[in-house]
Amino acid sequence: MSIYCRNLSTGMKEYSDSEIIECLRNRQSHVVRYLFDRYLPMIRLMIFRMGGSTEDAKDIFQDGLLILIEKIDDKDFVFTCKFKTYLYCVCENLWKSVIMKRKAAANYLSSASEAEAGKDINEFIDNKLYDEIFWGAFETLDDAGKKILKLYWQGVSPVQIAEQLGYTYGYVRKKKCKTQAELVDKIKKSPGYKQIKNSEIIVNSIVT
Amino acid sequence: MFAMGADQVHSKKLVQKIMIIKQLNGHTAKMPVKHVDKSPDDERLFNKDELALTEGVDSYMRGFFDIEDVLNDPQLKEAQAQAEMMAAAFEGRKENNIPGRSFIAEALSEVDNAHMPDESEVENISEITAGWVDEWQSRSSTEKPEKEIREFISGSIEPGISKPSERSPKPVRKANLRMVSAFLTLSAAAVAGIFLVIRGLSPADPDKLFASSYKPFNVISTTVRGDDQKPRTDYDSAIEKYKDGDYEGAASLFASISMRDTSLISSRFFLGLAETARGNYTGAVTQLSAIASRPGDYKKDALWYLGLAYLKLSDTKEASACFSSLAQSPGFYHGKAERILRRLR
Repeated sequence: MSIYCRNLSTGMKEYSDSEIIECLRNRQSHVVRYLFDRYLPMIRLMIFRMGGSTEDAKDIFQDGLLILIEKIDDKDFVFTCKFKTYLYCVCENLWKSVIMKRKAAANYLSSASEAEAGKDINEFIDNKLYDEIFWGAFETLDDAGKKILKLYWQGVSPVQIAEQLGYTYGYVRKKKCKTQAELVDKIKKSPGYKQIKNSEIIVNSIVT
Repeated sequence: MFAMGADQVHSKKLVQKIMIIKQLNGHTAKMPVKHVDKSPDDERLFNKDELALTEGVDSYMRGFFDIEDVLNDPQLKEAQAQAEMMAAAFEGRKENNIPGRSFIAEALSEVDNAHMPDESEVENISEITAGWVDEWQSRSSTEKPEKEIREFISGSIEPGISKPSERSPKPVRKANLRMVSAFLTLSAAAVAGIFLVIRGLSPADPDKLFASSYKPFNVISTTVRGDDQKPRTDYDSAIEKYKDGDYEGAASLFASISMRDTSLISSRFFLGLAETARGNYTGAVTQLSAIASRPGDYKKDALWYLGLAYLKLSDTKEASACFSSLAQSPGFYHGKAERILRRLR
C-alpha cells in the first residue's frame, strides 16, 4: 500500500497567541482542534515522562485548556507569557496533582506497596526510549536534512525554512521527505527498535 | 540498554516502552493526515507501519521541541507561579459546574458523544418526564385529548389510514395568513436586496469603513516576548494605560521604551496601536509598517491595524494591499479583511 509522504506544511495553519485568545473568547471551535493537534504532543510527552498515558494526556489537556479559557474570559486577567508556556505549566500542575491523588489512593488501598507509593515524581521520568532510538538515528543524518527536519518539527513553515537556510522551496520539500524516509529506515534498523519489535512479537504471542 | 539480557526488570521496562510506543503510534494514526499538495516530489512509498512510525517520530519531536521552547522561556517562572494558583483553584471546584467544558468537548471532533447532554442534564430530563407521566396518569379519561392526539400521530405516520381532519376550515384561514406573511417577507427581502445592490455598487467611504471595523486591540493578547523583559515595569504601565484608554500616556511610554531599544517588537506594535487610537495615523503607519513587513507574532495584527490607518488616511490602495494579504491567509482576520476588500471595490 503506497501512501504519500506527508506534506511539509502538514496542512496545519499556525495561529498567533492573539488569534488563539480571540478565537477562544469568541468560542470558535476550530482553534480548539488546532490547539489539540498542535500542543497535545507536547503535553503527551510531558505526561509520558511522568508516567502517564495518552488518555491521561487528553484529559489533562482538556482541563488545562478549560482553565485558560476561564482566564481568557476574565477581563481583569492579563496574559503576560506565551500561551504555550501557560498551557504547559497548567497541565504540568494538574498532572502532578493527579499523580499525588493516585499515590494517595495506592497508599490507602495497599499498605504493602508503601515503597512504591513513596517514590518521588521524578522516578516516573523513565523514558529514555525516544532519546536513545530517535535521537541516535537523527544524529546520523546529513546536516542539511537535520536542519530542515528540526525547523519543520519546530513548526516553521516550508517557505520560512527555505528563506532561513537559503534553499529553494522545492529543495526543502524534497529534502525533507527524503530525510524523513531515511530517518524511518535508520530507526527501523537500529538495534533498540529491532529489540522492541522482537519483544512485541513475543508479547503478542503471549497475550493472544 | 536495549542489547541487555532478558532479565525480568528489563523485560518489564521493555513491555512498558512497547505500550508507550504503541500508544504514540496508535494515537497519531487516528489523527488526520492532511495531504495538502500531492506533487510528484512528495511522493514516497510508505507502508502502514512506516507511516505510523513517521507520525510517531514527528509527534515526539514536535513535543520535544515545544517542551524545550517552554523550558527556555524566560517567563517560565512567572507562568509556573500563576499556573500553580490556577490549578489549585480548579481542583477546589466541582468540575461539572465549569462553563466551557462542553465547548471544548464539542470542539474536539474525536469526542463522539460531544453533543450528548451530560449526566446531570439527563437526570433532570428523567425527573421532568416522570412528572409529565404522573400528570398524564392522574387526569381523568375525559380530560385527556387522547383520541385526537392518537389520530394526529397515526395520521402523521400513515396519512392514508387516518380520518380526514375535523378542522377543515382552518387551513383556508391559515393559507390567507401565509399569503400575507409571504408577501411581507418578499417585500422586505426586495427592499433589503435593493439596498444591498445599491450599497454594493458604490465603493464604501474609507472613513465609515474605518469606523465600522476599528476597535482597540484587546490588551489580553499582549503576549510579552522574551526580548521584552528589560523594560518590564514601563511596559506594564504602558499596557495598563492602553487598556484604560489613556492612549496619550500609553503612546508616550511605548515611545520611550522603543527609543531605548528599537528591537522591541511588541513595544513598537503597541506604539502603533496607541497612535491609531489617538488619531495620529501617520505615526501609526510608521510603526506598524515596520512590524507588518517582517515575519513574527504581531505581523497579522499589525497588518490589520495598518490597513485601518491607511483607510483613515484615505490611501485605499495601501489599505487594500494590507487587507489582501490578510484575506489570502486563513485566520482570525481572513473574513474581516475579505469583507473590507469587497466594500472597497
